[in-house]
Amino acid sequence: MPQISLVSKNFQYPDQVELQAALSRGAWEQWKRVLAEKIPPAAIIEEVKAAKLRGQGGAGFPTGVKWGFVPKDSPKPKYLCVNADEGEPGTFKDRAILENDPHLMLEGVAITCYAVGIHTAFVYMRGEFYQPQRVMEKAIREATEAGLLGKNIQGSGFDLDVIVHMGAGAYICGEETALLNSLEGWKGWPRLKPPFPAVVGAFGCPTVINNVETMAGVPHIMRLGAAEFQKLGTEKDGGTKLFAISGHVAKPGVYEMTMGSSLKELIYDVAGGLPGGRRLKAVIPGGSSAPVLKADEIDVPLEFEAMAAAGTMLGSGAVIVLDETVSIPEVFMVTARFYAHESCGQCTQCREGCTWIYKISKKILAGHGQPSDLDLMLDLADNMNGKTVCPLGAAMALPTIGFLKKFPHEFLALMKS
Amino acid sequence: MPELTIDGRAVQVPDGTNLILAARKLGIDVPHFCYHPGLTVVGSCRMCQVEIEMGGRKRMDLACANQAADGMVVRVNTPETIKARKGVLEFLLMNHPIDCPVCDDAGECKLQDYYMVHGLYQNRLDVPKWHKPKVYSVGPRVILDAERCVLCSRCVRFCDEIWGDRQLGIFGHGSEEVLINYPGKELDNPYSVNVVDLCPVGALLEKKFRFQRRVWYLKSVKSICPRCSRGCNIYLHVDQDHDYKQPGKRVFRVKPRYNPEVNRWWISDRGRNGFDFIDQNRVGVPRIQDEEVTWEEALGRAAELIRAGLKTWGPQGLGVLVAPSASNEDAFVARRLLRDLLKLEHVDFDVPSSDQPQADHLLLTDDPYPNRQGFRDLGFGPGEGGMRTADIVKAAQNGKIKGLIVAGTDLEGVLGDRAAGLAEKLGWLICVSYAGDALWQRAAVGLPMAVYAERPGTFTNFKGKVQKFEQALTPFGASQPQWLIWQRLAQKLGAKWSYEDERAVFKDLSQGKPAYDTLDWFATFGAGPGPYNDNWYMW
Repeated sequence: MPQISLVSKNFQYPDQVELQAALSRGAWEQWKRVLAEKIPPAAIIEEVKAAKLRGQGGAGFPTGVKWGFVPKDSPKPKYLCVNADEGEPGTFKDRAILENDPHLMLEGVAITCYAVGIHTAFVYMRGEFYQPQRVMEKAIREATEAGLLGKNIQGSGFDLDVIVHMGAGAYICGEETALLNSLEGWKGWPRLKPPFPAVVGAFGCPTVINNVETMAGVPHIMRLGAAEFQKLGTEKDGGTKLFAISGHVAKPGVYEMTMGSSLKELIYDVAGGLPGGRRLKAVIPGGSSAPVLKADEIDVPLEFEAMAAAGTMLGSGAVIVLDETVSIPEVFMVTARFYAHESCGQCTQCREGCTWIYKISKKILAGHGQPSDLDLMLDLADNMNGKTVCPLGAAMALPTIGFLKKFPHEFLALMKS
Repeated sequence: MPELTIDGRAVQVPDGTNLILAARKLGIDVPHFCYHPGLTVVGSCRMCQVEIEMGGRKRMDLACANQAADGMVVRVNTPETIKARKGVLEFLLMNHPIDCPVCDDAGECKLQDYYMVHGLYQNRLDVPKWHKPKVYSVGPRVILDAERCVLCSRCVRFCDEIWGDRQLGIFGHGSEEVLINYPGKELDNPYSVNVVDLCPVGALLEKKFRFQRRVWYLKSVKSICPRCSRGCNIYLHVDQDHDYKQPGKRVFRVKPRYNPEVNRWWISDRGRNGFDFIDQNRVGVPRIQDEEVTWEEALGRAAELIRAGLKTWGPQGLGVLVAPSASNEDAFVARRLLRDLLKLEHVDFDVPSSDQPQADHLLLTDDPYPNRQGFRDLGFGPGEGGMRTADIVKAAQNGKIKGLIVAGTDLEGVLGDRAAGLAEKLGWLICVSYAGDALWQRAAVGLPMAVYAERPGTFTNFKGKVQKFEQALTPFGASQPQWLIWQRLAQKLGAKWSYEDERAVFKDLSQGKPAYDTLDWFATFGAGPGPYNDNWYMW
């Protein structure tokens, strides 16, 4: 069984959000050990690199490598931003960590800050996450009172403040540089790169930006050691991954899998398959911006490279299962509506293109489409794809190409002549 | 100094030069909307995509956000980049009202220009367009049509970065996004109209110029702003060929001219609005008392009065006030006449103005006159024992000064009560003026003067920089340049010298003055070196 309990191990205990209960289950132990044994920060970075931990927010960038980009001798302060702006439709795995095991993430934050030399960490949280906000703020308060965060932690001389910052509910603020602008009080518009945030980030200072789940993996690397952790996954993707599966499955929810398990296993073995004996039509495997897979394409390992080879992406691990009752043009219209609404409006192609595609998709659903509309949308997608500051343009273009190329007959069926 | 190849041609540019400027050095235009050399790079319009080949790897990227590097190979026009730009243009036009026939920006609009190169395709849009605010006043001098806006954020960045107050912002998101004032704020900074120059399309328009004239009728002439002592480089946009539209109106607007050492790309709203005097309340015929006469008669009468005055009252009984809105050439010839020939003592240029600018951190100085420094450089001013302006006015009031020559200033209008009845207390008043003001009405002799836009000349700004302005218009009526009036008067009074034109005066006045005599009259003075020196305010 590829299912595993590592990050999600303590999700089952309702009192895991309380510090005492969490401590009794081993929370904060690795942090205390790091401080007590005075493990050199460079050794922690090496350990994380060796563990092949990759960013779990969607891009899959090697975490240790990212930390290594932060200049060592910068006279400026350095910051950590935990990206808890989980907004991709279909994604709800970070929320599970934030609500069920905040101390696990905080321990990862503490170890990360120690490794990179950071004394202020921001948890940038999605505007609608009221419950996670309450849980996280309480956990920070308790950990600070217990001397696990704050000034001179455990007598080590290391200081760390963790601040929860609530966003205002914009999808784009999950993009790391838009997140930084939002954090600084500006409009959430992505920034041009370079400079990368590791060099010029929050308030012009070097900044590490990591996903919640990535942070939650760090204490496990310290506990298991890099080799053990890496072995849970594949050669290039170490450890486990949380998958948020939704749609037409018997048991939707968050499941932890070893890296490299197959998508088919996740849908049929773990999530209980499709209910009511219905047949599978399509799967959106990595959040709404991932190109769709047809029913016969799902025997693919859940791993960054393999998914890319299959013409889609692992993304944030949000699997949306669509059965035979679903109208693909309708799914497409809803997806386009989302991106048209959430485009930040900075780059021309994304600002105008998302809305244009949405308007065409609506027109097709209303029965006024023409076959040439499909070519037009594909051409618009090509004009958007990869030509914008941030990946939101591509996030609309890729599913457009996916839906239109794999299910053209469903669109054509809506056209009268 | 990295050396790179752009469209097959090698070019060397300074470190940190981006690809738009590097290409411009070769005369290659990379289309762009949001990039402006005076503002930060945001890379949001995505129009300037070019193919960049570096270390064997090709990619399509922004020319504005990528800096030239050694060995870089850039291709501006490839099938891919042209398609990408066509795509951007199509997206920008998607919600655009395409109302060029009634848009003031038509003719100097980037959307139009780029459409000629990258457009001309079938309209593929068959879904409704957005509607956004139109004819919306964002400030006292600027009006917005948000439907024409391409959301390049240049105006927003101008307010933030150059003026330093966030007065405009882009609100909302997605394609419903709209440019508008910050809540509770007006676009009322003293440089607000620069956003109209920055606007690459017809979204932000100058109220003063709105519906005044199609831009292709306008002739653009290099000039210097006379509205404070900064000496900002400007273009005067004039049209004398379509008089039937607005009889008498010849100057339509002022646009900034790039000069890295003086005003960069900007000018103040004060300078931009200060051209009405050129076409309003002008005088064009010489007068003796209330009677219109010929130049010969008027100059003869003036010379007669001066000669008689010198005889009866002596040099101490005569006073001269010349406003330093006159050029260096005017000041130099005036000095030769008044100080050197007539040996007058009470000669001054320190005249007050009712139009005081408020100095700020950007361009405006607190001096209303453009050429005070030039008057100082040329030694124009009172002789030993001569009085300054305030004392001359007082002396005129209490009868110590009997004959007064005033040039280029509406003394009564400025001094109000302090100059009341001045003309009546004097023996005579000779008035050299462009406007039919109160003083002109009561002068014994009125000599009509051409304004700076009607002849060439030079101003010296408060930092000592000498800059030339060109002739934009023919002089109003029979009016003549001030220096020529002084020269003809001098000849009536026995002077042997004469100059052929402004250039000859400038050559003479420059001698022995390093700030002046290195300048070539036929070159445009002042504009320093730089890649932007292509004499067009639009970027």
